[in-house]
Amino acid sequence: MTAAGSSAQEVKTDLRNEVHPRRVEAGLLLMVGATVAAAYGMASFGASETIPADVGPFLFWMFGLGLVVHLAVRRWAPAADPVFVPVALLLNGLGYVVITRLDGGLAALQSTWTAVGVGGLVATLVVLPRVRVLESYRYLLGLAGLGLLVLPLVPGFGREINGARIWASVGPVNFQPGEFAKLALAAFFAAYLVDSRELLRTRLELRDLAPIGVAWAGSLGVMILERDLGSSLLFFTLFVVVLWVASERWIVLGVGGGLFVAGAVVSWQLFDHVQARVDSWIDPFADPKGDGFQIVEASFALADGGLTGTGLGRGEPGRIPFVETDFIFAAIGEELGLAGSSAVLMAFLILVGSGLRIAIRTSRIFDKLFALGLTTLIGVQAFVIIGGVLRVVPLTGITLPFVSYGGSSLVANYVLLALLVKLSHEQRSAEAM
Amino acid sequence: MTNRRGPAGPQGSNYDRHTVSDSLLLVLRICLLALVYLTFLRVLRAVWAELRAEHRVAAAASAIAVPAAVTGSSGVSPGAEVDERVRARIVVVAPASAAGSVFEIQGEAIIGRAPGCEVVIDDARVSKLHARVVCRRGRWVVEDLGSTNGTLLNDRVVATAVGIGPGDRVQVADHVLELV
Repeated sequence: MTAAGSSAQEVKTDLRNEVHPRRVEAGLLLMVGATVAAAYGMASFGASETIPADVGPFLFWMFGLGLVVHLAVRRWAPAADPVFVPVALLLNGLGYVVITRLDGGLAALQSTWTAVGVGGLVATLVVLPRVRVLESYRYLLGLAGLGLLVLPLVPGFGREINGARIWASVGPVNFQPGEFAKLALAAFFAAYLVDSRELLRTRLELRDLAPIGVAWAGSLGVMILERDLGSSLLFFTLFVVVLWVASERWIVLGVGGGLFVAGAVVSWQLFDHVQARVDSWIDPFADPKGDGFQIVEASFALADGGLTGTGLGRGEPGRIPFVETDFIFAAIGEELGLAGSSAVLMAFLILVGSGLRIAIRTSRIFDKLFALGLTTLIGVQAFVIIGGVLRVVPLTGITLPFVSYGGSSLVANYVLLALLVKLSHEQRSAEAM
Repeated sequence: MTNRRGPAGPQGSNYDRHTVSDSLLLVLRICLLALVYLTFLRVLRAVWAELRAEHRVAAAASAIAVPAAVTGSSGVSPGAEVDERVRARIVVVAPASAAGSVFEIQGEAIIGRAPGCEVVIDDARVSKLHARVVCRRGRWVVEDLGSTNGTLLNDRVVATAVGIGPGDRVQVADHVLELV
């Protein structure tokens, strides 16, 4: 056993050295940097035929932040999968270029938020010795998640902006607590289900399904009280998917899907804002200057983009309301065409694939369920907003992770990325032992 | 390029100033997209290299015949592999206060603090669902269920599913159990 063990060990060490995850990551980061720099130059050249005056500082900050992330991962998560960081930075970089081209003031804020996000990523890697310590704080995290979720409803803290009551202001800082609530709740669901999964697998009674009912009621509450369809859908999907994998029972998906349909139909009948969304999904041209305006303009933008786009700086994505946040995918579709928007989809596909690979390969149940939950958050969020822009599903306002303008969203997603990187590091270093 | 979307908006006025030919911009645009996809190609190559390495590690591990339980999937794995009808007994060896307790098990047993477990150990250092002993393809294996304080098999930490037989000592907190 010991002889066999040591030769297996040698084979593994050889293979690990052959791959060199951090060296691969450095190479990918250089490619990503070159791509984003080229896009930045082209956006300015397309709009005004000049090389942007601030290209020096831009390059300095972009490569500087990339270097900080790379060194932090080298130091605190050296065995992590090399694709997470470059792909996320590519999405962030392309998003930043499009935001710069749309609104210089927002771009300045977005660059600040990117720096804060990178700070959050490094802090997460440093502070958490192991991701599984979160498991011990399950109820604290659950309470924190719920607290953050209802914070916008608390008089004095809550702010209603553009019809959705999802903002909170503490002192001078405005933020969307829901973005951070999703991380806390993903950790809570994973830790909670570690305890109950063995029992759920052996026998499944009606009262075991009660948590789905609670999650469903909570999601409906968020939707009704905060008028935030996107987050409501995101939380419910997160819970059902994690419960489904934990229990290994198809009936969970069935019951979850049934509750979703019931909730959707009832809220469609009861609420004007839901009806408006569905109407402009089915036929945006019924009211092209009113409710359907945003989707109509987005459809024109995508059509103008064609296969390779109008070129950065040459389209008119500024005509779409909220193009920097909810509709940034339409701006990318217009100026970089089908090829560019497919690249964005591929990037999310790679992130989700790598996240699920952690979940499949790790042997710790908490790590497995947490990696699954975090990956579900990225994947579902990207699907919900891209599907909304493309009219695959009714539009629900939510940010496109890493790409859209938005401080809370960017910082929360960088923390999410740090958690996945750390989980990946733990899984792969446990495997190499 | 004609403007197909009605009157020019604020950005539309840029069109008047364009002097560089559209074909040059088209070339630049294609170059940019090519760069994006080259990046993806490298990312995919990295993923491919990872997967191949993992595959070869798994192949090497099984060729050297490490116990089957190591290469078999652990954690969320199909329950179908469990040999439901194999019976065994788990005997508590230590501490003295609990020594001698016998638990009859069949196919699969969960060791933990929760009342629903097959082997209940009432100790605050034992997780509610701490470890599991399960019979797969005729062999008993023990695996840790993500417990806080870990499980030991013959004083070594149980990281993945490990085969056990008579005489092996499974330890959770200060309780030592033996499979008979």
